[in-house]
Amino acid sequence: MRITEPLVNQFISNRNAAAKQAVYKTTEKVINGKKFESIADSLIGAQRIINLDDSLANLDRFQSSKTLVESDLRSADAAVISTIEIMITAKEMAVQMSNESLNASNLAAQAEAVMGLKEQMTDIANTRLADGRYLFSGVAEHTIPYDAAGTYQGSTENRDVEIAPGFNMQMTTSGPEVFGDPSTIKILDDFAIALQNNDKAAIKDMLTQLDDAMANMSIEHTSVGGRLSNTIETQDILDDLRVQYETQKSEIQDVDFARAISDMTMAETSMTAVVEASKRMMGATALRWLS
Amino acid sequence: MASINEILSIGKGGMNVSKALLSIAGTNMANVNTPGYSREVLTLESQPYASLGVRSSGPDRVTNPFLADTLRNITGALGFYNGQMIPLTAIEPAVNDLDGTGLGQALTTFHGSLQEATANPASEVQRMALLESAEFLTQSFKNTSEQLVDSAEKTRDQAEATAQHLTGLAAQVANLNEQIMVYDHHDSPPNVLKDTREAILLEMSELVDIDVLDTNDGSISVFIAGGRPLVDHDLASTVSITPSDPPAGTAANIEIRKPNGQELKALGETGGNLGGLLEAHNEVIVNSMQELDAMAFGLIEAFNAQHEAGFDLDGNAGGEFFTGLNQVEGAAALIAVAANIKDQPSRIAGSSSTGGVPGNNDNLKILVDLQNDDSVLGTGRTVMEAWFDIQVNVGSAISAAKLGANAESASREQIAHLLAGEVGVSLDEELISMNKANQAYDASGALIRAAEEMSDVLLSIVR
Repeated sequence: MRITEPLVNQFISNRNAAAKQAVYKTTEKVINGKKFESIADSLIGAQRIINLDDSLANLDRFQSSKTLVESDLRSADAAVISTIEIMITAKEMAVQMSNESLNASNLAAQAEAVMGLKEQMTDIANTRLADGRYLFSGVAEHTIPYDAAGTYQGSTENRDVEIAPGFNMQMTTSGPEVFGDPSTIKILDDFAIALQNNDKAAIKDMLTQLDDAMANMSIEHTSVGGRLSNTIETQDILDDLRVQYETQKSEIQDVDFARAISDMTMAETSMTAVVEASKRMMGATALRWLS
Repeated sequence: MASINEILSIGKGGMNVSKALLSIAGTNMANVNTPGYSREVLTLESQPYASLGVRSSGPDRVTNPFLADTLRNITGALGFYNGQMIPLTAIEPAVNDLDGTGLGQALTTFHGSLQEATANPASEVQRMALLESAEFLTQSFKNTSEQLVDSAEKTRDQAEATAQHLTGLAAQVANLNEQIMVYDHHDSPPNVLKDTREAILLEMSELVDIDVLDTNDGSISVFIAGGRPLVDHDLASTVSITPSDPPAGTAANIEIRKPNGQELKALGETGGNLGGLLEAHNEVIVNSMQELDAMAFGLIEAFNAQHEAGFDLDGNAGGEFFTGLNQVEGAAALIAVAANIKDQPSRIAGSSSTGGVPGNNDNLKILVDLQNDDSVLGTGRTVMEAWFDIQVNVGSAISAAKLGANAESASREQIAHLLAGEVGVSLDEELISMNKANQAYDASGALIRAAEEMSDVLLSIVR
């Protein structure tokens, strides 16, 4: 093969360009910290990264929904505990007022206290959340759940919300679920009237009604508590998924720096060798002897 | 036996040939870096009778038609991939989700806002966030569409400019043919004309695939696009880019107009830069535009249909959520949030019943599920998958072009080296040749001096 000047020039030019490109590519990886930055560089890798990014974005949404659901359920749980405490107080009063020795004025005096319990119960039943929603009106969150007489005005329909992939949670609680039907407000109202009217039979009957309402509240407390517990536990699912997705993403996309730096050093060494070899090749001429 | 006169003639011939050799070595060395230059050689042979010295013919260009043709073919293939890369790398940022921006991000954000709204459908804040993400989504559709349309236009412009350049090169080849034919009738044309023509053919082959046919009058004919004549002796055709049949802008093709005005369509692949540009335009960019339009149209139709099935915060049936065209073409450029819902978050129909207002989220949940519904577009692909398909189409076209360019580049380098090794100038060889010519010149001079001395001896005897 003849070694001509154009051949040598082309060869040196191409080899230098290739060596410089290798230095550029390896340096770019070290600087960016990514194995690839365009879909063309890795079709399969890119698809997985895009899917994982989508899944991570969905996790953010689930996290947001889960936080809201948990907050509402914590409020509901606290409210139900308060209502049970009120009912315990009411039950104690009903037991005391069932005493035959108490006269009408004694009972009338206690009626005021029961009315106070009813007011507390009404306030709890009509609890509003920080964003203005009513806690116990089901999906009718802009409607005050109970009127002064203890009649429910909200919706018996509740809302399920997805708080983790494929995991739905009942977020809202309708009034009758906690306060029964007739409502505990109405029962306390009837209790106060019975006390005011010195109606001994009605007062005794109140014991049964209060027991039933408390039992219902305990069941609902268990339900709300269970939902709250399950909601809190989904945090583990969300955290595990996030770690899993981010680990996969890192494995696919992130550069192994030890290797990338090694590659870059090799490319730089190679370029130095190409430059040195080019100098020698360009100097290998008979010109100095023959001219 | 040769006479003294014959010896003088041999010396004279030797000096002339040596001078010619020196001249050619000098020409070759001077043109060592001239692009397209083929070294010249002088062919020497002894005179028919041994005693009559040397004679030369030439100078001749050193050529290798096989390698030159192979180089042109590979240059065309490399040009094709490089031609594709120009517009494809330009549209890649528009469809690349890996940088965390663009339509994919907008789709994810929109679906995320829908998902968040299901947790608190009565919240005005959530509804406003949903409308804002819908605005972002429609803007992203428009931006992506605009970038694709803009790239398509620029690709057609680039193709037109390439066609004009090709036309200019064809005219130059025809002009060189004319000059070479004139010389051929009387004398050999200067090699520089053929070198120049060869260099133009190589440049031409980067723009389109060419077939070159040598004719016996020294001219060449050049054919493109499956056999259409580009250069015929001293006549050159013109090349232009023609738009496709309606719908406009969906394809671009080349048209060849012969010197007599006859218009010819391409019979085969165009190849080269021009072929790469047209393929990227017709097969990738336009397809992406059409798929993006289909995506936007399908989303508008499906989302609106479901939204209209729900009820807003006032208990009214939902209206259109997105507006756009009632046809697929151009849908991505015109998708918008409906005017009657824009800035009126209460009109988002999240509830599946009037009784469920405001907290029922069933319709919102169905709208969320559209994200994973593969019947929305009627293609068995979800909206997100359709978007990814567009990204993959562009990405795989770029990837294939890169691979092709790398392979052809390596082949081209190899063939170019072989050709440069054969037709290129070696300074070492030329220096040796120069020294040889010098020595031969000296020797011929010595021969003449010796003959002269012999002649003087003879003359002195006579005197």
